[in-house]
Amino acid sequence: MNHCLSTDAILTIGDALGWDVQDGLRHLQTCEECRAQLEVLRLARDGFVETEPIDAAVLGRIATAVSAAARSEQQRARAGERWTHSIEAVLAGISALIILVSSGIQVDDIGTAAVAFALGATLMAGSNFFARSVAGMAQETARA
Amino acid sequence: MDFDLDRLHSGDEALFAELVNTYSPRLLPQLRRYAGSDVDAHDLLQDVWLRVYNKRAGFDGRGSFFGWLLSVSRTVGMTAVRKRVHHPPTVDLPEIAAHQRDPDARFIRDRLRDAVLALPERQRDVVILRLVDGMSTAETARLLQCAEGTVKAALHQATRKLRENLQGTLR
Repeated sequence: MNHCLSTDAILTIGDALGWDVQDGLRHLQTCEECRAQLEVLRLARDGFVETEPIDAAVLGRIATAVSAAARSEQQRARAGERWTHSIEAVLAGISALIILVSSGIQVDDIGTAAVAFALGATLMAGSNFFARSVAGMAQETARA
Repeated sequence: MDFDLDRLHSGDEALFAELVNTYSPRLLPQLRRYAGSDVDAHDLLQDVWLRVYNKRAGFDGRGSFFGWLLSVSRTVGMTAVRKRVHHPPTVDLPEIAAHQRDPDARFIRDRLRDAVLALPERQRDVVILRLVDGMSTAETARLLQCAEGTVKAALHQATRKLRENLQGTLR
């Protein structure tokens, strides 16, 4: 069995000991304090580098669970977005009505009110769509 | 393992699949002590990854990703232990015995793991990055955005605390 160190390990030790390798190693052999420190660090490292093989089926199950979590997060986000857009459109419709009334235009029948409301809501939905398209194009450009 | 933080934050499924494959073999031994059986340990591993996915915004890239995974594992493990106190499971004794062949070594290892995870964040990150991830002092300082002297001091303080913690256990 070959116990020789790799060149990389030798280089690391030399560099770590400031190239006073003899002194450094002699000190480690004679100083109980440094040996105890080294032992604690070794044990701590052992505790974290330990690995255990895992069945591909288990890894697959975990990947599926993460995908399901991702999908449900996307669905929640889309539902939240839809709600936000609906509320924005309703508020825009109401704002349109308020603007008409406050600028002295008579809104005395349900037809006019509905048209004003629809115009406000459509305007808001349109500008949302436009903003999303511009943001999407900017992202595509940045990616390219 | 290097990865794009934006991909992590956006919940990129391909990246998560890669992370699951890379880190799970290292996480499973950490979860053993919170689990009553092999099946429990695998369930805990799945819980860890689901929590990692849900809390991914909490990792800001300024420390060790594995260190962050360990903290999440610990939280998930402790929650499982607390739950088990209220609902004791049917324990598969032979399975547990297989993982506790050397109880002394396992005891010391578990105690040190706990001690490392209980260190202040900076010290814990330094220990994991230097000792486990194998980074140099300069690389660690760059990642943690601090001076190399700070890394050396943190490692020294951490080692002292770990030794204190093991006083009487190690000869």
